[in-house]
Amino acid sequence: MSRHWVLGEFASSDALVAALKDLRAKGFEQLDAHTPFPVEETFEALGLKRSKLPLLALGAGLGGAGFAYVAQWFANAVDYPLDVGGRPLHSVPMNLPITFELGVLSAALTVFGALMVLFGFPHVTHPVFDVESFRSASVDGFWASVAVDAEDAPKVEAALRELGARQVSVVAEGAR
Amino acid sequence: MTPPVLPRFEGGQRARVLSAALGVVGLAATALGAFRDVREALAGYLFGFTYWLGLCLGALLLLAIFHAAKARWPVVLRRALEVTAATAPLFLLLFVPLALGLRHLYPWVEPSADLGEHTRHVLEHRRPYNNVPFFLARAVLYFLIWGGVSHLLHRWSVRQDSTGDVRWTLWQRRLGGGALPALALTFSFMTLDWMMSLEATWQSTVYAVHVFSGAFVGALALMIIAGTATRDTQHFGRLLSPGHYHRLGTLLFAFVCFWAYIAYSQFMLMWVAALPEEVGWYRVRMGDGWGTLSLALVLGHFVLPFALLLSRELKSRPRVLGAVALWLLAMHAVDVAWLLFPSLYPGQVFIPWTAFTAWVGVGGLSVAAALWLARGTYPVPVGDPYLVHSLQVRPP
Repeated sequence: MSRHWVLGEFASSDALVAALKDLRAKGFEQLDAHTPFPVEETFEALGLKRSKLPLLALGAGLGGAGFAYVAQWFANAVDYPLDVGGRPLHSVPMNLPITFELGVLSAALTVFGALMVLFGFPHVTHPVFDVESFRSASVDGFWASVAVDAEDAPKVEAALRELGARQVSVVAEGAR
Repeated sequence: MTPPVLPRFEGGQRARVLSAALGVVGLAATALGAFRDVREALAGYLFGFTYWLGLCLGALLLLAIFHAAKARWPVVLRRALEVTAATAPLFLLLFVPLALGLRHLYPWVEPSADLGEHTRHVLEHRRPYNNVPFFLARAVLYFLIWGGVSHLLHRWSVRQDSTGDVRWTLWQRRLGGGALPALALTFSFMTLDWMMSLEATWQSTVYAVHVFSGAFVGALALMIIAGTATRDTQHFGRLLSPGHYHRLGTLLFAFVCFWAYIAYSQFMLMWVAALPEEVGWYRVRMGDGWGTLSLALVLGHFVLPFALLLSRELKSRPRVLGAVALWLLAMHAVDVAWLLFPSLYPGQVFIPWTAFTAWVGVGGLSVAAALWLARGTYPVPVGDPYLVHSLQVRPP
C-alpha cells in the first residue's frame, strides 16, 4: 500500500494554523506545514514531539569523550609508559583537551549523520515537489500536508476543502 | 488607537537612597577595620573595588562592542548598559584609598628583605615600570579613557532621546568601535597593575583575558537581572521579550565557556611546563584550603552553568535565566576572590571580613550612582532608529 500526501493551500498563516488544529482534532496525526517564512504558531498547531536529536548528540558526545579519555589513559599509562621529566604517566589535565575535542566531534558528526537519515537521505527530493502549484509555498501560499493511506485520501481532501483550502492536490508515493 | 506612552524613569529614589546608605555603612565599616589592620582592610577593599569596577567596565566593553557591530537587537538594553558604564568616574574617587595604601598591598613598592635576593633583583629590574608615580599616572589615564568614553556614549544617547537625530547613532558607533582598542589595552594594563602585581614575580600573559572574561560574564548577568527585576514595572524590563533573554543567555553561555577555556589553558600550560617561577601560583591555589575554593569555582562557574545554559527553553525563560544569572554573579565574586586572596595570603586560607563590608560598600555606591544617572531619562533609547527593530526580536 502506498502512502499518499494530501496537500491544501491556504491564503494566510492564520487560516493554516486553524486548519491544522482542526485536522488534528479530527484525528489526523501525520501533518506538516509548508510556509514561505517561519510561522511560530504552526509548531504548536502541528503538535510536534520533542526531537530525539539532542539526546542522540548528548550520548554521542559523552561516548566520544569517554573513548578519548580511556584511549589516552591506556596508551600513556598502561600500554606504553614513557617517563618525561618525572611527569605522572596518567595526567588528568593533559588528557582533557583531546577528550573535549573528540566529544564535540562525535556529537557534531552524529547530528550530521542522524539528520541525513531523518531527512531520508538517499532520496534527494520529495513527491510533493511534483505538484506545480506547490511552488507557491516559497512565495505566498500556506500549505498543509497530511500523510495518509490511499483509501483515506478522499476523506482528507474533503476535510481540507471544507476548511477553506484554495486548492487541494493528492500526491502518491512513487518512484522518487 | 493611541500607542502606549513610555514614562521617563522617575522612580528608583527609594532604591537609590537605600543603596547609597548601604554603601556608606559598608565603607564606614571597612574604614573601621583599617584601625585594626590596615592591610586586611585594604585587601578586602581591593576585592570590592575590582569586583564592581569589573562589572562597570564589562558593561562599557559590551556597549562598545554592540556599537562596533552595529547591533540592532540590543538597542532596548542600551540605556541600562550606558548608565552602568557611566559610573566609571565614581571609581576614580573610590581608587583614592588604594592609592594611599599601595605599600600595604603591593610587594614592589618597598621590597622587604625576606623576599630573597632573586626576587628583589627582579623587582629592581622592573622599577622603571612599577614605581608609584608611574603607577598613579597610568591609573589616571585609565580613568580618563573609561570616564570619557562612557560619558560621551551616555550623553549622545540621551540627546538622541529628544531629537531622534540619526547623527548621534553614527557618532556613538564611531566612538564605540574606535575606542575598543584603547578600552581593551587600558583594561589589560589595569588588571596587570592592580591585580597581578600583588605577586612579586609571577606573571601570566593570559591573566588580563581571564579577568575580562569573568567581568564580561558578570556584566551580561547584571543585564539579565536588571531586566527580570523590572519585569513588572513600566521600565525596560517590561519591553524585553523571550528573544532578548534567549540572546543574552546565549552570550552568557558563550562567555562562561570562554572563561573556562582561558582559565584552563593558563592552568594546563603552567602545569605541563612546571617552571619554578610559574607553578607557585597554582601550588597555593591547589593546596589544602584554597584547593576547595578552586574546585568550587570549576563546578560553580563552569560545570553547573554550562549544563543549565545548554537548554534552549531555559534561556528564553526570564525567571529561570535570572536565577542562573544571579548564581553567576555570585560565582564571579568567588572568581575575583580566588584571584586576589591567595596572592595576598599565600600561607593561610584567609578572607578578611572587610571583603564583605567593602563589597557592600562599593556595590551600594555604584548601584546608587547608576540609578542617579538613569533618573529623569527614558529607560530605553527612544530616539534610536533601530528601537522598533529591537522590540520585535523573537527567539530564533
